[in-house]
Amino acid sequence: MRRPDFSARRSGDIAALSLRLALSDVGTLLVLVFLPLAMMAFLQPLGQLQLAQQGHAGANGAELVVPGMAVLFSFYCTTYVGMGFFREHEWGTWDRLRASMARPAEIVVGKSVPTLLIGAAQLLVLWLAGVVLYGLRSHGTLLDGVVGVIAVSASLVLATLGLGIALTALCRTLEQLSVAANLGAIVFGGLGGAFVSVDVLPGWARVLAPYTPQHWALTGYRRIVVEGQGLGSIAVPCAVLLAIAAGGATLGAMRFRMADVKVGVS
Amino acid sequence: MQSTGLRIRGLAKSYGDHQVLRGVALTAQPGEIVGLLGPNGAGKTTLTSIAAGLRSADAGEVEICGVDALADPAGARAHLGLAPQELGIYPQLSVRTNLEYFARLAGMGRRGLRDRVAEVAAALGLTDLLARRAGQLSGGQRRRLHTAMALVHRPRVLFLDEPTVGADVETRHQVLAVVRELAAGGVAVVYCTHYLPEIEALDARVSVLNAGLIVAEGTVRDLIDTHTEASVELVFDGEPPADLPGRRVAGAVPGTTLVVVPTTDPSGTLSGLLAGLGPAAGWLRSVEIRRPSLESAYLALVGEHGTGGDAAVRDAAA
Ligand SMILES: Nc1ncnc2c1ncn2[C@@H]1O[C@H](COP(=O)(O)OP(=O)(O)OP(=O)(O)O)[C@@H](O)[C@H]1O
Ligand SMILES: [Mg+2]
Repeated sequence: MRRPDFSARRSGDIAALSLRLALSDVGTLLVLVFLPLAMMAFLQPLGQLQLAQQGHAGANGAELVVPGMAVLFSFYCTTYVGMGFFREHEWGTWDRLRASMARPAEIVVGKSVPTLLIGAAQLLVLWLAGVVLYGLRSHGTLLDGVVGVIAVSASLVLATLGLGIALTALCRTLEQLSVAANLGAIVFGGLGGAFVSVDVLPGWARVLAPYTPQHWALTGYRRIVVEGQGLGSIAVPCAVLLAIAAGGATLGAMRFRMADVKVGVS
Repeated sequence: MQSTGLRIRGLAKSYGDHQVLRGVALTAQPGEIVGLLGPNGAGKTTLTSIAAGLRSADAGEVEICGVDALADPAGARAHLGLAPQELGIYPQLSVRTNLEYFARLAGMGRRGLRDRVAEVAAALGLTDLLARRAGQLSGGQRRRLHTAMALVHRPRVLFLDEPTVGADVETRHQVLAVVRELAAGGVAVVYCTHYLPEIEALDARVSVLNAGLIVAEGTVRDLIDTHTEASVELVFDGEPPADLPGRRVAGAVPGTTLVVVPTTDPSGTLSGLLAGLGPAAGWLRSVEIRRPSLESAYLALVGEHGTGGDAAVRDAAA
């Protein structure tokens, strides 16, 4: 009897349950959504000054701070990936899952889906709030603006997931993961231009910026929203983000072992 | 060719240079309950984990319902249920969701699932708790849920690793009743425990694991007959009569002597001994018949001081 190697139904069951578990963690959801919204309000005047200096007199600052904070906090989704795995260890259910008929691939995919959904929902909420609350307007056509932002956001969420999978495979404890995610978010986010745009950063930071995933997401958003360029302008940023996603997932797949012992909070 | 149940042969496993299993063989036919006994650290959990595909083996064979579990763990899992020693439940989900989830993962359809969950819940006294969050259950209730989750999908081979730890008398009875029922339905059950009366109550076939090897195997009756015998114990104030047979040991109370007389017919021997005591009966303090039990057989096998797995491995290595 030949069994199918991947059951979408089972992976879907795992995804549905994992999403439920992830959503029950209200604290993290607040960090993902309300913290960036608050930061946008605080930083908007600064953004406006910067854009004015760069010759965008009509800008209200949202063009800078909405993508900035969205990208900065999007990176925190890497912890979500890890949490999905680490907490199963904490609850003792990881071994049960492994002893069940679920294949490793079904488990990994199932446990990754919630991060994709949460990451996408987070960006959707932040961009909508940017438009509604902070008066964000794209300087190009509306269609380009919407499609462009969606394309960059989708690539960003995938990149975050890929990095999250890699971090999950590399870290042994949830604490290590959350330190890595925090450092990655703040340091790489800052370097990438999430707080102030890269061209006002010190020289060394400008050299390092292109090596951060955040830089590419921000570049994509900036070309669409601030500079009003066409969709062709985001091909490279999106490609880089997707490459990061693939690289992270590959590294994760190479290093990840179902039998590894992970330590959640307890 | 036997292609059902569980068959383990030559199983070996080391953690670093600590050899935990050194060629273990274990079988459980359909409908059979195998009590896996052994001191702390003997390797019971290691053995069940390997059989369930959670840890790797260094050598040996594991066959589950005719499937080579080491080569095709995914194939073997279709027939397998495991309640690990460590509790594994989702605390923020309801008892029902916990059960349904693992039934679904095993491929059960929505329709059969509700009935089956109700059935398993009833068997383990969880019916009134189905809507409650698992995290709000008491320790014993959690253990019952944990056990129920291992059998909700009707496995053909079931490993229960200490399912009654922390359980009250009633829970214990429920678990034993469920195990008996499963065996009656043709399930091969491997039952790890430190409570020997459970093994006697289940009338399980026993395998005793010690120092990485199965040191004894058989029915409870076999083990008792082979490794222990009944005895009559008499305690005297001072010296017992010289012509009295048996082994002399200093009594628990200073100045007393314990005489242990092994026998296959305790009451016959006792009346004979008493009749022959004569005046010595005057300083006889107490009389006791020691019936052989699984516990005495077990202690004879693994050593009175519970030569634990680790100590025994050290001894064996020396
Ligand atoms: N992951 C591990 N790494 C190293 N040593 C281990 C590991 N797991 C178990 N051991 C060792 O292997 C031996 C057997 O452990 P195991 O858990 O299988 O014993 P057990 O018979 O189930 O004991 P208990 O009755 O206490 O549950 C012990 O000495 C233990 O310290
Ligand atoms: Mg154990």
